[in-house]
Amino acid sequence: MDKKTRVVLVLIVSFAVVLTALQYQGWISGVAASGSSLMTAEVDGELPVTDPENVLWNKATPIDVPLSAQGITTPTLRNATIDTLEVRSLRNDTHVAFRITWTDATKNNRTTTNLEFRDAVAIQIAEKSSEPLICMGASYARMHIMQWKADWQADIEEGFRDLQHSFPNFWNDYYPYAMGEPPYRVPEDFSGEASQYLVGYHVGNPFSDPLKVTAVEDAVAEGFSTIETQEVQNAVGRGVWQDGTWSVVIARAMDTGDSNDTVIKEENIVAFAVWDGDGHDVGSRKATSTWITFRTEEGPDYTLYLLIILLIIIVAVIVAAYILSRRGKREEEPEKTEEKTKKVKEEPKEEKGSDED
Amino acid sequence: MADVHNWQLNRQMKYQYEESRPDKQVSAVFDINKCIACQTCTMACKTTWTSGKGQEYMFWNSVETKPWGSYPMGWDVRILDKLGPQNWDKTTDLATYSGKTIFEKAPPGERVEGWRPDDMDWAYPNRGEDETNEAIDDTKYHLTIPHAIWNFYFARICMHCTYPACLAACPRKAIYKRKEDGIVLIDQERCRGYRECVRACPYKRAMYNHVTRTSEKCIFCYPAVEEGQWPRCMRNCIGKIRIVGYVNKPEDSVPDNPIDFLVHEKKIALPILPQLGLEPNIYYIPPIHSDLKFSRQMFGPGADDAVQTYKDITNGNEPELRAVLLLCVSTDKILGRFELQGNEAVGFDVSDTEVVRVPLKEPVIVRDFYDPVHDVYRHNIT
Repeated sequence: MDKKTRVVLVLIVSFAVVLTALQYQGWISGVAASGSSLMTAEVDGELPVTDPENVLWNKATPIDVPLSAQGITTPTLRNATIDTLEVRSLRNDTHVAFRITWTDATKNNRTTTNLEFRDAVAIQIAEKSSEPLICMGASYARMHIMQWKADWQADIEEGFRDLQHSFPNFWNDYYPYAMGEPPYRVPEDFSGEASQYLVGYHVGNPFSDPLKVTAVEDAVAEGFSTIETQEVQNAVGRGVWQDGTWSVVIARAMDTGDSNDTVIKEENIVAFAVWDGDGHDVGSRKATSTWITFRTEEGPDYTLYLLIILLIIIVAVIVAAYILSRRGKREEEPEKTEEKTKKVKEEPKEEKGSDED
Repeated sequence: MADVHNWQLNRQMKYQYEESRPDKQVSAVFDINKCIACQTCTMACKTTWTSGKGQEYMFWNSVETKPWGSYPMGWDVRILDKLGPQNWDKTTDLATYSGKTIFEKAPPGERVEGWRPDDMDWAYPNRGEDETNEAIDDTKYHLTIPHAIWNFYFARICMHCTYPACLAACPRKAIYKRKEDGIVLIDQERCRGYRECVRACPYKRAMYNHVTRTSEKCIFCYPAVEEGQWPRCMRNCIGKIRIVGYVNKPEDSVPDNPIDFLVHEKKIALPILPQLGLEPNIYYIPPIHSDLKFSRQMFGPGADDAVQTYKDITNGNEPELRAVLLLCVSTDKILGRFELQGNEAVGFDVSDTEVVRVPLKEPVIVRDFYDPVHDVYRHNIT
């Protein structure tokens, strides 16, 4: 090993050590690990529940969550276009938030036309159970599900995506009992009897509500086909799509007081599902994860000890490098002496030869 | 998948759920030969149920001109293409379907073989209107019998199938078939707009609402049915092509039930594309002047006999058939029974009360052009 190589090696090791120390402190983003547990990081004050880009998220250790195409119940997802999520979690005294990030080349946040399907992501939280838990729970295992929907968020942030937005300048002769002027605004112009012609809205289906208050549906399920929107909505969240990546926050109080919500605590289990609207993922056509243990309790604070150990390692590496460098020099010197000796021994031979000539 | 019996296929078949027939099954027979494509049925439905925002493109009842018309575009040929060539075994008394249904043909991971129409597919409700199967040229014109060229008007609503593909496909179980009358409905509180029903229904009678973002479909005017009355599209039929009642399984056929009589006793009324396996409950008397090859594909292997039987009516061989068909749209009460009394067809509602009486042959009375009593000339003397 020559001197140059050794210097490079020392620099690499030192950089890695410093990087690890900074990541541990939450000063820079961590490296995702594939794991079966998700550790939530505690922060003081408010959680960034509507800001997936907030610097506070760097405090949370990310994990990579592999996904596979849902293939247990029909209709299944044939191919999972999204095969991994990066998940982080933060909490304070009362609330917990998750940030889920995934690669998605297309932003699908409309469901107005026949072939528009939404991008969405869901977290399912349940009590740790000795019973086998699969997918959306069972009659003995009620699942709390929070699903963020890209189109619900768009309706809130950009206004309800009405017919005229997808089909500009369309004409319709009349809508019974509607008040106002074409193209007629939903729901303002459809009060009273006119609302009967917006049946889903009239019967209170949350999917038909043009005036949504949250992009995250708070739901419960006891198995496939059973998901129900809860009467009391406790979840909030927001997503940002940029450069082919969705980053979505879903948050909730750890204990909402709502019997339909799982109290979020140490050793809950969580699972994730994601829908790619561009691939017409919808309902059971989704990519899902396995169960992951949710952890809130951290061990003693070893930061100081770790920094000291890291410092010792850095010093040790430098000293080791110096010693190696010195030893290398010493090894070079005998070689030179040997060469000199060889030269001296060869010289008389040359003289003798000269004599012969 | 469960094994269920589909009498229209004369065999057991695979379906998502166990066989669970309703106590009664609403049904109707449409006589295609009488349809004039006036679209009164279409508008009766449209103004009653689909005049809301988000439903602009919807026609729960539509009338298309066959062979070229289709709403949505290619609804029939696209599913037939997916199904591929299939066969009937005609050696059995009732032909047995030896091919695959859309449930049996479903790819791995799917419940039903299907496809989703896009917005443009729904934008041709009148495509091919009044067009004939071939161009009229020097050698083929429409005044020969049988017609060298043909078309027919095809009124379609939801078939309220015994084995609905929409119901089978919905992972939410938001679609249900009513036990009391077999009407298939989408629960507007449960629907989450997945559109699996839109994809699965081969007749394409589930439709996505742009504004409420749920799927909707024909409800067979169930509030009227609960009062013993016909649905709006049926009672407004100008051509008097429709008759409404309840249909039984062939082994339970009641000969004086007008629907059973047409479907099982005389086998003159046939289901649309029975090979798909849904056991649809709206039946059609096939057109007598169209290409039988086309009718066999559309109405199954009974098309030839049905056409022959219909022709026999005009030969005076089928007085009871004539009687039943005269009851079409002569009442708006759901019929439970009919009788041929002398020269009159009599209809009874489901509580067996007489609700309609129609002469087999309309009496013709010609009055004088001049009325001396009032010293006026009559505008109409027949």
